[in-house]
Amino acid sequence: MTGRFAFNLLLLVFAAYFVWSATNYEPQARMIPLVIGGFVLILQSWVTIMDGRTNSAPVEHAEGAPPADEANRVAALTGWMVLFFGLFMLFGTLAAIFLFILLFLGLRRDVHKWIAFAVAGGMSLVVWVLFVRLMRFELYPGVLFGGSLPSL
Amino acid sequence: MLDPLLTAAGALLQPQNALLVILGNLMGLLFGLLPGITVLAAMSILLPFTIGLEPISAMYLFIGILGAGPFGGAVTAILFNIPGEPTSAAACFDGYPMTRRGEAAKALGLAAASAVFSSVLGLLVLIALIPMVRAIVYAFGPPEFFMLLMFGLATVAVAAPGNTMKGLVTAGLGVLISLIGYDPITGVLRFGLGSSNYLWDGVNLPAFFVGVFAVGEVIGYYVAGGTIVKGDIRVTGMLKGTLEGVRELFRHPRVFLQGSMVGSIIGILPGVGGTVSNFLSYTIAMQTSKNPETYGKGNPEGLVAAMSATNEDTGALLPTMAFGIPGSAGSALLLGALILHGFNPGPLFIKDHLEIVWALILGLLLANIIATTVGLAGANLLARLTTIDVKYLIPTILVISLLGAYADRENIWDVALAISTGVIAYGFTRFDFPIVTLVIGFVMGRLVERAFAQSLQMQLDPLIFFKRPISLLLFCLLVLLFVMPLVRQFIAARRVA
Repeated sequence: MTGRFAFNLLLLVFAAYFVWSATNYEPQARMIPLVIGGFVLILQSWVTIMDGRTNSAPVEHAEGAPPADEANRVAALTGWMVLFFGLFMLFGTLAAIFLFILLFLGLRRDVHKWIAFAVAGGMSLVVWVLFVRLMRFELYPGVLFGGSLPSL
Repeated sequence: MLDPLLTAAGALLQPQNALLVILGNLMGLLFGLLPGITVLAAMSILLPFTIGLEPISAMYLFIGILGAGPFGGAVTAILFNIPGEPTSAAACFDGYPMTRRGEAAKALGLAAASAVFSSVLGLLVLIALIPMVRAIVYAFGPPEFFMLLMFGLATVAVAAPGNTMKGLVTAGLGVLISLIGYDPITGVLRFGLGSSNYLWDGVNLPAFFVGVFAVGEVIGYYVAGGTIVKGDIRVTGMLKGTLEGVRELFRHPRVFLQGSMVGSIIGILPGVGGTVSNFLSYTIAMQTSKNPETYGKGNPEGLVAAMSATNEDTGALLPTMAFGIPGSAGSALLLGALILHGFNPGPLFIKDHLEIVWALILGLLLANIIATTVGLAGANLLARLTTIDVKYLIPTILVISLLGAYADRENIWDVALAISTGVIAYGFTRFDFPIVTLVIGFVMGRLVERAFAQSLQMQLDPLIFFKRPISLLLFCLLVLLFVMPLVRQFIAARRVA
């Protein structure tokens, strides 16, 4: 299964969820979602079929072909972002910013450790001055330091 | 008429007031630059501090902030494909591809010039419309509003860049995402995805924008590596480029006038806001262009269309002052400031406090000029950012953007929403689904449904949309949108034959 096909399937499932959910609502609440959802479902089914047919042919991109390890790179950056979210939730905004930038740059071979440290420290300082001192904005303190998680 | 104008101009010439406009302007630029954090935050922060000021001085401070927002928000949209303000989101579509071609300075110059000249034009429209404002506001009821939004959505569907079918899919998905949350008509939570609280107010717009534009784009940087300016393209002739951008505006007078009028009129309509106006202007320009296929690929005309409609705050001043009905979120805060300083905006306000009206008009004019001057002066420096290796930009842009997603509601789940939206947005871009239609569908979706329901509540007759002249006119334009490409094709086929 190619990435394109998987993504098309994901969109199909997404549209199907809206149509299926809409059927449970009162007529007034479901009218527009049902119409739009049904429309998207039909069009996306068509797109999936058409994309499947042309899948064997190479797709030209204006900015050149994507690298071979594209999926790995997307997964890696998604992992980095999940890490940032975890740090943000546990240690709060400032610590998360500092640790995230330090780790992101510090673990690279082509960036000197001191540069990573300077960028991380500089960015944390900018955020502190801008948000805390000037804007009097309350940064998230982190679950470990008394922050609470809003209910989902 | 002349005395209040002279009073307002005299007050503006006082060093304290001029400084307040400049201070507000710089704050507006700064807040406009930060993705997810809008100039409204700056206004909210400063509101309590203005109590000790003279009312006219407080207005100069606020109007200084409002005037800087459009250009401030466009800077990051053009340089990094990340709009600083939702009202500048459409500037990404052609501004960023220009940056990738090494034309960042030109794009910034063009954006600055479009913003300031459209604001001046908007102010002229505002002055001209003061006697007619009541008629305009009352002429636009829910049926007209519904048709206007349908017209906007239809233009997207017809003129979507790239694959039309995929454009329609993403537009539909955008509408569906906008419907998540509490249904204002029946009061039920729709499409909650298991959430009973977080999604009650729907998908948060700043977090969604941060995800679609910032996170999605940063993933693209990570995958591609290198610098934002691609290949061997050199960012050269910065000052020349900036001035070239200013000159470029005068090559697109039709689109500029069209966008300015869209911005002014949308501003007058209460509750619509600048996010709709810049997308609507963009889609109309795309539809009426001779080369719609070049939109989204760095066509300066697209940038003019997006930026010239950012003058909605000038139009929004009108219902705010004349009826006490704010036309935008910014003017709602301005209304709060007016009330805080003891004014009662309404029909008598324009008559009794014309000096405040002029103060707002002159202040907005000055604020735009300052923002543009600062913008043009800084364009050289800002454009250099696009030559920095993305390995440094990725973590810094990510943390500022995700902090912006959090800052709007101070809800940590908005960070998670921005991340997940960003990953999906990368998929959209990667597999040739146009992002522009997704965003427009999202912005207009809920408004369409609300206007439709309100129209039927006015009169339980689906034909209400065709019984009112403006609504009918908009419907005819909508039909024309679908017919025009067919006519063009027919003419082209006949020419070939």
